[in-house]
Amino acid sequence: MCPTRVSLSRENVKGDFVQLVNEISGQNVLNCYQCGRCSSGCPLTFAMRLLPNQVIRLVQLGLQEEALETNTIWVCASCLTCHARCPRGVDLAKVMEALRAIGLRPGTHDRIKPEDLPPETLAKLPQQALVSGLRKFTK
Amino acid sequence: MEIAYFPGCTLRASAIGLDDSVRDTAAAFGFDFKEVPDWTCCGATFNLAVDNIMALAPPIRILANAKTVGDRVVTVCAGCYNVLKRANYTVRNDAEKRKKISDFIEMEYEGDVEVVHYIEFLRDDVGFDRIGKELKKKLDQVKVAPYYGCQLLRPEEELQFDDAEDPMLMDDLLKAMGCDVIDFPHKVECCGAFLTVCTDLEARSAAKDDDTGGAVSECSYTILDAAVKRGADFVVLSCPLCLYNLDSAQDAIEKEHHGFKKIPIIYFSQLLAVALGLDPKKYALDSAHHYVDPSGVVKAKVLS
Ligand code: SF4
Ligand code: SF4
Repeated sequence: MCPTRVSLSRENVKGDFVQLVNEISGQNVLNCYQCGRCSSGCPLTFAMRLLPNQVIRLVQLGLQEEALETNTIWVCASCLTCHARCPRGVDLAKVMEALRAIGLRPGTHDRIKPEDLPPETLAKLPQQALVSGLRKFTK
Repeated sequence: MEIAYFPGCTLRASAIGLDDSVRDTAAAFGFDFKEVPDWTCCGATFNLAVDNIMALAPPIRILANAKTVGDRVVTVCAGCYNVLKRANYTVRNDAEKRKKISDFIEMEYEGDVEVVHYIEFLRDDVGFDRIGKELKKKLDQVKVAPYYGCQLLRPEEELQFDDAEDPMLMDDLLKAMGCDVIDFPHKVECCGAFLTVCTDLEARSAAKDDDTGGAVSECSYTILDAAVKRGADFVVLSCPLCLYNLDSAQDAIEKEHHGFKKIPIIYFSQLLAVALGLDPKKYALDSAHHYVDPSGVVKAKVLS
């Protein structure tokens, strides 16, 4: 969970990335004051390499590559526990969705392909799981 | 009185026991549920990217179609409830999106249909008191853990189903049915939801490096272990995805956590149907529809 070494620059902080995340998520990531309450209640942190609030911090600093390459954005289950508890009213689930969207929208980086799912899995998964999974992990 | 009912795609397939038990219990109370005409899948998960307007088209089209039946639509799948209600909230509060969607689906819709969960319907239209009086089976030997999960509750300001941290609505229904309802601290915890599609993925997928594969069984373990330790006979819920996750994960949990005791997962409406004296064989309470077969406990605790 040790944060990667990052270099800070005015260009990054003022760059398009922060703007883009705000636009897709409808949030202002700069509202987050890094209290960590989101991470303390998140039920999926055991599988995350960076905590949810650390990902927000990367976005605040305009560090696109670092934010998109952490597994956290793919482990987030959109449960909205963080949003329910954030004292600053940040909808972190929407920020995670924006980061996934930025990764997926070019159309070349689908996380799963229906043809990779074993036939037994396709047969047993409820329709709801399949539709929502494909919506979250593909363009 | 005719009331619009939206089953959703999963209920006509793997969650058939949920659909049948809702329709039959509503009919038993004298209500005529009419399927929303020409319905489609709602999209299964509410799209959280606010610039994605396309994802609003299916739920809004469903609501516009529901309006031809009446000014309310009843639904029971927690996922459908979440998607329909959030899409409705969005068009009610955003005139530009409302216009775009209406133009696209070529139907006028102003956000004026009320989305009602079947538990809310049971409270407001049937009445919990009446339910208690009409039951044919005594449920005082049945110890249940009511599980709400995420989609019924969050975001609270849009859904207004119940308190997002300490909901009591399903507890109240089950108490009215005479069940012994345990105090269940994990009732609002996430089961891992759609991460379940990654569980069996072979090495070919990009998702294999995300550590999503075991997430569902870990989340489910936390929830189920709490229910088992408090002595519950069943976990009771209203979401087919939660049911699948909590149910199918138990083999993996058993291997991982020594001494874990399996527990059957059922829909609240299946329990209601059986308690009303309807034929238990009709509601998929069997090993063909469950990983952990609930039929033994149903027989011992409900039918005896
Ligand atoms: S709870 Fe809100 S303010 Fe606190 S760290 Fe998380 S996103 Fe930031
Ligand atoms: S929405 Fe994502 S980040 Fe927030 S608590 Fe749930 S899993 Fe964690």
